[in-house]
Parts: sequence; C-alpha cells; structure tokens
Amino acid sequence: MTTAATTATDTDRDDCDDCARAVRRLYGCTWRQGLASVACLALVAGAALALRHDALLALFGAIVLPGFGACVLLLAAARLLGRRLGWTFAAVLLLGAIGAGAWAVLPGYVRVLAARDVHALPDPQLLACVFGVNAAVLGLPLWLARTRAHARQLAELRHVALAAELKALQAQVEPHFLYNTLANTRYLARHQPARAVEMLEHLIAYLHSALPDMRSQASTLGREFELAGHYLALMAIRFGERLQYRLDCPPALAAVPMPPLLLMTLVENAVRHGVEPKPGTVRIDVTAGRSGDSLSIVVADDGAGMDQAALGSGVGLRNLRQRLQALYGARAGFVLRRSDAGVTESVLTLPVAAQRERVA
Amino acid sequence: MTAPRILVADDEPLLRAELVEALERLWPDAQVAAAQDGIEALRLGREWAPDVAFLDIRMPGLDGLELARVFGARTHVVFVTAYGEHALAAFDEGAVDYVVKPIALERLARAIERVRARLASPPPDLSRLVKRLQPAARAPAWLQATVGHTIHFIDLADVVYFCADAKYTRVVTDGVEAHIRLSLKELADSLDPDAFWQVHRGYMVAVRRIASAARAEDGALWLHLRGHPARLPVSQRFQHLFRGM
Repeated sequence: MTTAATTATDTDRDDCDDCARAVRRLYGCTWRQGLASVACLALVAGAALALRHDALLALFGAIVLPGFGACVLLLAAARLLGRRLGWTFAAVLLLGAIGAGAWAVLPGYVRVLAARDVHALPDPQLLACVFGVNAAVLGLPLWLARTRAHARQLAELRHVALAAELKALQAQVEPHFLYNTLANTRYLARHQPARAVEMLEHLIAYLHSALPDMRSQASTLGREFELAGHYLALMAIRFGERLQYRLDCPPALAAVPMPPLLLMTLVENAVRHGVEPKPGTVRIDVTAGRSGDSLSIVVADDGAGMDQAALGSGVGLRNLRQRLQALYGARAGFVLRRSDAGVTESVLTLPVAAQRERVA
Repeated sequence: MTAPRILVADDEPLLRAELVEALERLWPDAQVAAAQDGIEALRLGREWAPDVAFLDIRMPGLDGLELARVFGARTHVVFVTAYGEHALAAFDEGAVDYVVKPIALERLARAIERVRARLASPPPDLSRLVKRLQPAARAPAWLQATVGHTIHFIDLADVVYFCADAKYTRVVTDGVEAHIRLSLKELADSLDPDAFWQVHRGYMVAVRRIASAARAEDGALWLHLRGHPARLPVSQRFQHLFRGM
C-alpha cells in the first residue's frame, strides 16, 4: 500500500493522489481559515468561562491541544518527506501523536482542576476521551482519503491496461488475412495484372490505416469508413460475386471523432459470420447517421446470421462491449438484432458531444 | 488405366482457379473439376466419383472435414488449410495429406506424388482423424437471449441467475431479463459447474452472486444474492451445496 502511494506517478491532477497532498488538504489551512478557527475556539472558551463551566473548559482544552499538535506534526512530516510520506506511516504518526498528546496534557488537566477544586474525570476516562475524539475527527478523514486515493489508482490502472490493450489491437493484422490476400494477388498478377495492382493498392491503404501511429487513440468516422471500405474491397476480390457491399458515410459526419477499430470489429464479424458460412450471394450495408447528440452506425448483412447457437465463445463482441463500457460507461450502446427478413444488424450508438473529453 | 478424376473444392474463386491451374500443370493426365462450396462438392462427389479430392477445410454449406467423412472409402482426400487454422500436427500423424494455403508448388507436387502412389489402394479411414480435427467446443463466454425481436448478447459474467420458464429459460442480469431457447438442463450441461450452481429444479445461480443461505422458520433454505433483491429457493436435493455455509 505504502509503495503504491509513494511511487504513484506525477499527474497533473491537483487532489489527493498521494498521502502528503491529502495531509495538507485535510490538516492544513490558510491564514484566514486559521484565524476563523482561533476565533471559534476563543468563543467556545469564552462562553465556558463566562458560564463558569470550568470542568468542560478544561476537557475542551485537553481535547483540542493534542489534536492541534498532531496536525502540526503531520504537516511538518508532509513538508519534510513529501511524496515519500506513506499512508500507514501517516496513520501511525497521527495516532501516536494523539496518544502522546493525551498523555502529556493529563497532568496539566488534573492540576488546573485541582487548583479550582472542581471534580476531574478519572485518568483512564480522560485519556480515552481525548484519544477517541481526536482519532475520530482526524483519523477518519485520513482513512477516507486513503480509500478514495486507492480507488482512483485502481481506475487509473484499468485505464492504462485498456489503453495498452487497444494498442495491441491496433497493431494486429492477422497473418491469415495477409497470406490469403497475397495468395489472391499472386494469381491475379499472372492473369489480370491490372486487378492485382488494384488489390495491392487496397492492401497498402488498409495496412496504412490498420497500423496507425501508435500514439493516436482517436480516429474519425470518415477514416473508419475508409478503412472498412478497403477491407471490404479486398474481401470482395477474394469472394468474387458472393460478396456485395455498400458504404454510406454522410460527408457532414466524416470529421466526427470516434475510437478506432470499433467499426472494423463489426464489419469483420459480418464477413466471418454472415458471408463465410453462407453459400450464395451476401450483401453488406454499412451506414451512419446522427440524431441529436448520438451517432449511430449500422452494419447490416443478409448472410448466415448467428441464430443457430445460443451460447458462444467468441471474444470479438465481448472486447467491443468492454471497450464501450470503459470509454463511455452507459452512454454508448450496442445491439445485435435479426429481422424477420433475415437481415442481421449490428447497431452501435456513440455519444457525439462527449467524445472530446475522452479522446482529446 | 483411365485418367484419375480430381475434385477441387474451395469457396474463394481465385484460390480455386490457382489450385486447378497448378494441378493441371503438375498432373497433366488427370481430369480436374471444381466446386465453389461444400454443397456443390458433395453433389460432384456423388455424381462424378472422384479419385482424389482437394478439400478446403473452411467452406460454406458443408466443410471439408464433413465432406471427407462422406467421401469415406471412395476418395483419397488432401486437405487444404489456411495458415494457422488447424493443428498441423494432427495431419502429420495420420495417413492423410495436406497443403497449406497459400499453396507452394513444391509442396503441392510432393502431395500429388504421394497420393498417386496410394491411388491403387483404398483410402485410409479418416473418421477418427476428422473427429479429432473438428473444433473442440470451447467453454462458452456469452449467450444469446431474446427480448422481443432484439437479440441480446449477454456476457456470462453478468448473469445473476437462470430460471426455468416453460420450455425456455429466463436469464436475469442486473439490467436485462431475456429468454434463451434452451432448457435449464441443457444450459446446466454446457456451463461451468463451478461458476453456476443449480439449486432447484427451476433455478441456477451464479456462484459469485450468492451472498448467504438462510433457513426460514418452516425449514426451507433460501438464498440471498449480492446486489440483487431476488431470493431463490434451494430444494432438498441441492442443500448439500450449502452445508459449509
């Protein structure tokens, strides 16, 4: 735990990722806050004096002084150690300081009350009272801050893991796909050189966008349609007349940002589960539209469909769902449906306005 | 001896043409016919009785493995498989030959030589090999369930419990309730028995979601679930699952 907290990388966020920062936020104060606190304390003390509640006043002092000391000590530790201050150490320091403080104020408390001839609390009760109140008031927020910092770190780790997975996905061009395409090209080169060149051009363009700059996690609808277009052109050469397709990306939407390779997953799925298993011609239609703040992309095919199996082990759609969940939470949707006419439709719905905050 | 008859079955037209062309060059005295999918290959196999069949394993209609089984003792089979698609070791053990796509001419020439040498004898029995090559059923990870006309893809990790509902099964997740066209019994047979426990004739629960089992005043045992309001009955037959709880 301590290591996790102290080795946390420097982020540009300004709150409680590391312990020292949390300590400063919880126990530190500005001059104005300090003055206001002193005024409040004075008010309470004054009221107790005026009402001649000496016992209460002494108890109040006995509680406040060790707490104040513990805060100062922790702030000093945070300043001295900085990022090296761990959560466990801070907690031990805090509780130790409160305990020591309680022990230290005990003689004073007894002496003051004895001088005024007022009945004092028994020692164990006073110690427990001072320690308990301070531990609750000062320790609880520290514990909460730690819990929150850890949750945040976990979320951060998840985000990093997803980004890494995405990079791996982006880098992936199946060897099977490459071999097969090249074998087709070899045949065409001998018999229809012009088509071979055409096929190579689609392949080059496909590879160009399928193996993008590793740092970019953002793409646009237009670019994704282009990628799907090259892929389908290659597949149409491979499958001959069996595959017909149409892509329709409204020009106005071409620049809308979207995450890469979501559309490719759906198109590959349509080829694998719609075209490959079905004898005869299959038609794939890829369309996009926008209504309000949501972008919807539809991949429809009249191929074999997936309705034979109730259970499946494919990971493509699972990955897609996980990515949508990680990027948009509940704001994105994915539905797969089969109409009575035998058309399988995958419908992807993405929030448009919300893209920028994530992708930028 | 009459000209040997060779059947080529591949659903990709260019690769099919390439294989036909290569065969005509390497085996000039043979007659070559081509089929564009499994169904056409089956018809040609019946009507034309080929001596040798070069079968693509993945084809629409009927795949190469099924065809090999149907062709049985009549036809020598050479499988054509795409790179990385099948465990090639399985082929190496058996008497059957194979070529990997994209086809290398030397490899094809060697396969032809071998099959020619065997042409006089009856083809080996492939049924065991074919059975072994048939893709093994992997543990399912998701299921398809319908609500009206929409098919929902439900990740098994999201399932809270299943409930028998006439012939079908109702699947309950935190967000969706949908129907699967399988009986609870069929589902139970295909799911991981450590992840899903059948606790009643009508209920199967995701083990992760079980919070506690409590006995009611009348002695019946009920399950409380994590993060879900439903309570599920545990029938006598399955109470042993909760002895330790």
